[in-house]
Amino acid sequence: MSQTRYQRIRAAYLALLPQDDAARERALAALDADLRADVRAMLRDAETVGILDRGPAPDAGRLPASIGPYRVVRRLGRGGMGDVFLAEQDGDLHRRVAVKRIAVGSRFLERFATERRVLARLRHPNIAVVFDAGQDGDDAWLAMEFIDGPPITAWAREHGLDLRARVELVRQVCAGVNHAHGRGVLHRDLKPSNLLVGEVDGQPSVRIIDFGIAKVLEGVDGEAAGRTLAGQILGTPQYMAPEQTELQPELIDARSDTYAIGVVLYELVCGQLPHPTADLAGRGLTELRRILLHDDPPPPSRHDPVVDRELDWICARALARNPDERYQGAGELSADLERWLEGRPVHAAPPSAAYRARKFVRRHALAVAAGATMLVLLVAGLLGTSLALVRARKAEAVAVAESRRAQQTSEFLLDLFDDADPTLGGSRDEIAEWVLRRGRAALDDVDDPALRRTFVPTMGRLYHTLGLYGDADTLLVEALAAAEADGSDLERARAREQAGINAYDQGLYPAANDLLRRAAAAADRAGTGNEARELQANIMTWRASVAIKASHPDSALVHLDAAIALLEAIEPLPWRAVADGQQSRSVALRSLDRLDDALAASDRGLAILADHGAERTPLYAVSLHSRANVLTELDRAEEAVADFQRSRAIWIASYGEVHPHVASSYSSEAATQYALGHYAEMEQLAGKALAIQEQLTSADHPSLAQHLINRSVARLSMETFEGVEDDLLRAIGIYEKVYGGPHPNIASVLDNLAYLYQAQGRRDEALDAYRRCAEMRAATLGPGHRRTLLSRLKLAEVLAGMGERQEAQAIAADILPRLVEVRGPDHDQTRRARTLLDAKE
Amino acid sequence: MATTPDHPDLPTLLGRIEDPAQTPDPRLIDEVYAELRRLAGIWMADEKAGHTLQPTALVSEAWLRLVGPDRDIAWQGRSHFVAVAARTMRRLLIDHARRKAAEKRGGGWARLTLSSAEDQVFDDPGEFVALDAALQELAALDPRAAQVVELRFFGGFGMDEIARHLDVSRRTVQDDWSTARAWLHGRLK
Repeated sequence: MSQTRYQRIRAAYLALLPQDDAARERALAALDADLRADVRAMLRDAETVGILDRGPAPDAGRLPASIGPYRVVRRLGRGGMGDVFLAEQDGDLHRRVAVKRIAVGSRFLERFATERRVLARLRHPNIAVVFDAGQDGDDAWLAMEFIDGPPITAWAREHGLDLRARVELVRQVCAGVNHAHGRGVLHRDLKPSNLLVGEVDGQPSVRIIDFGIAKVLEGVDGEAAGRTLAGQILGTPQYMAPEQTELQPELIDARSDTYAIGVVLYELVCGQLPHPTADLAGRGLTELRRILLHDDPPPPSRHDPVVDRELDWICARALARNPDERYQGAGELSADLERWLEGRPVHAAPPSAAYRARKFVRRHALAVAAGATMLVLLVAGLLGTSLALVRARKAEAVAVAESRRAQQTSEFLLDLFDDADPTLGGSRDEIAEWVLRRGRAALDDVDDPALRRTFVPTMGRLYHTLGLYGDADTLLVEALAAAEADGSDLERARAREQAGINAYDQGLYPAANDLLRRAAAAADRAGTGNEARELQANIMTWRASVAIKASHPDSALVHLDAAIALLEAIEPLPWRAVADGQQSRSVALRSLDRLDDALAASDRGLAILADHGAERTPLYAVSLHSRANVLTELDRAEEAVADFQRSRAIWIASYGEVHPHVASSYSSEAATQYALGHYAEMEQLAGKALAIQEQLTSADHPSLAQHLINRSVARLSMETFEGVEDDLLRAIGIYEKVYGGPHPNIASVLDNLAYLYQAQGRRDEALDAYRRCAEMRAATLGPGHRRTLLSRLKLAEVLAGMGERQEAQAIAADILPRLVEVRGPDHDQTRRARTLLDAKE
Repeated sequence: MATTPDHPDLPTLLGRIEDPAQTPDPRLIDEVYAELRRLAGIWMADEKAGHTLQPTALVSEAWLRLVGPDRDIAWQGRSHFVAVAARTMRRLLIDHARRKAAEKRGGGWARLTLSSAEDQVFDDPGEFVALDAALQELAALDPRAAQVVELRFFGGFGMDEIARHLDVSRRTVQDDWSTARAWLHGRLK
């Protein structure tokens, strides 16, 4: 970025920052288009909480001598709200207190005054006592019991507590929280640093600090800070329940605290947070909400095998996204933990929605397909999202509309489940039909914009995975429009990428190219996080695929090398994407005739997948397929056929027979069978490919042309001409639409057509076809290309046969030196040209 | 608490850098770095209080330890001290983060540690390294804004102090901070 550009962005950003959304939009619209996206991104980033917000509170000063009636001994640390000091009460050297200094002044005290009576009622061995509060200059202060002990997690670590002892500690937390809940006080910011452990009579004793403070602060901060704090979170993302991201205090209840205890429990039993800090830090509210609602934390036993299944279930229940599915209070959680300690059956059961979704996916043998993730996401993820949305609406008290929406949502989801649950076979066709019939019809009835926004792209991707590109298109275009209107860079990049991939798979290469180029631009703006980098790499890989289709394998290679480099820098290695990249490299290298390199790339991709036990996955099949194509060109046709058949078997098991990949497998094997001289097999395979493709795609999909050509070539080779002319003319029609102008592939079909006419004795038509073929090749491949020379040679031969000696000899004279150069003086074609030239009248 | 410092020549060093444009004495930087490191070590080893360790708390404490609250040093002295401390704090954190990252890479993945989200100032080393890099980028585009971040984030300067130190208005400092914050958050996503 240049300094001038930065200064322009900075000026626009500062001018727009204090304005409301409508004014911002107007101003953005008036801005130079090339600045707009960056300014918009900065305005959004201004509202995310990140590393810089963990820095100091403003005007952090030196150690004060005293605060209120307390003499400061030393600084204990700095919490989210301000400094904390160890202090002694004047005149009472033995009473040590922790004094928090909060830089929000009188407003805090006003609010605190109303809470004070409530807090005074909290008397529990697991809750730290708040003694007093007051004002000191501009600051408010709060004196509370000083706990000389570390956070609960540090205590457990330092004392090497075993699992049972850790669970006991959590039960103490539950006891304190339950006491407060019973008196109408929520904590709202439970986390290890608010759960300190000291020793009482040689036993660890948990003290919960800051009870009720978050509520007081929330009100103060919201009012005082206004716009700059909008969208920021008061609380700690790692311990926050999904409903706390809604910024609607009425959604937060005892179950939100229970969720936080669940996070602490999870952390204590397996040593990890349910959602890694790296995933949550620096996210805006929307993104945070998305993660909390969509990403299921792995069961703790995944991190530490010592954790048993029941404890996994307890954690899952405590961390359920939907408060209704959670323990309804700390007491319930504590009771289940007690059952666990005593070895009795716990009340928590496998998390229902996710459990059922996984079961469904397993039953349908889709577990190997990318579709599986999509289905789980669709079913489990959306259930949470829609319920959260419904809850959010509840707060707005739009009862009638809301209940209709809730009904729509649940009917939609129930339909998905109930129809799926019985004994559906599990082939792609059945699932597709079911999704089509049920999903699409249900989706049409969903008219709530927020719900559509979640359902539509997911369903679009699901359709795409199932190879139903047309249906996918409608949905992905809708999703794209929504993301373009007000999505983040990441969302926009994803929406464009998805639409681009779908266009690519429909053979709409210019559209795909355009969408993917724009996706790359958006992804580049999305920064350098792992998620963004992986997305950037994936988009590059797809752009490479487009470049290959557009006959630019060299630029494809550049994209792919960059993509792989980007991916290999990510930890943990996104091995699937790397394997996919190697697979595409193989295709590009093959187009460049670097066959040995292409084979090596395929083998590398296959090895990566085999290393990760992914030998039955569709991606492995894709890599096998690429290798088979290379083997064909290396004249190792038999090995190629074996690879084709293996990869096809995987696809059919995953997707069913009617899938574009299966069609493409038949088609490629057809070409290999041609090399082996097995024309009858070839004809049959091409026919199968054609039949599948016709069911799947529009009438002008380029793959259709490929299958038509293959079948024609098989028939021409067997000297049967039935239907060949129609097939070839149809293929030319498709290519003309796809390429929009002259193209080497069209020229090749013309060559086939000319051959047919010649074989049928239709000389004039053959002549015309060869002429057009030669011209198109000269225009697209260049006049010196061997294929251009060959078609001109054929043209000359036809002319000679028709008695047009002069023109035939002129052509022969023109191409002879080039043939000598390209093919050598003794090549068959060179000799044929010489024969024409030497022919006497 | 506030003990007399056992670094007798420090006030002299501070006295020598009254001109804001002047590069701080490298000896001062080393001195401050050593003290901050020592303090950070104590903090990290003895994390009893249960409150977040923040670099700014370290800087304030280092000031107290090195200079003492009673020393009558011109405000500019403190201003320079904090500017230097901010710079060294940044260096210290980045060094620490790099070391941590190296440990993580070499330390074997099986090591099970209990990490609380609040320890993240030192627990997410990558983030600090990334911030440092992004801050260097920003310094090329907007040197003053980058300095504001350094003073505020690593040094714990208040807005008014930064304004006085940089000899600009408070409003300018706020604009710098707001822009830099949004810009860096965008970079670090």
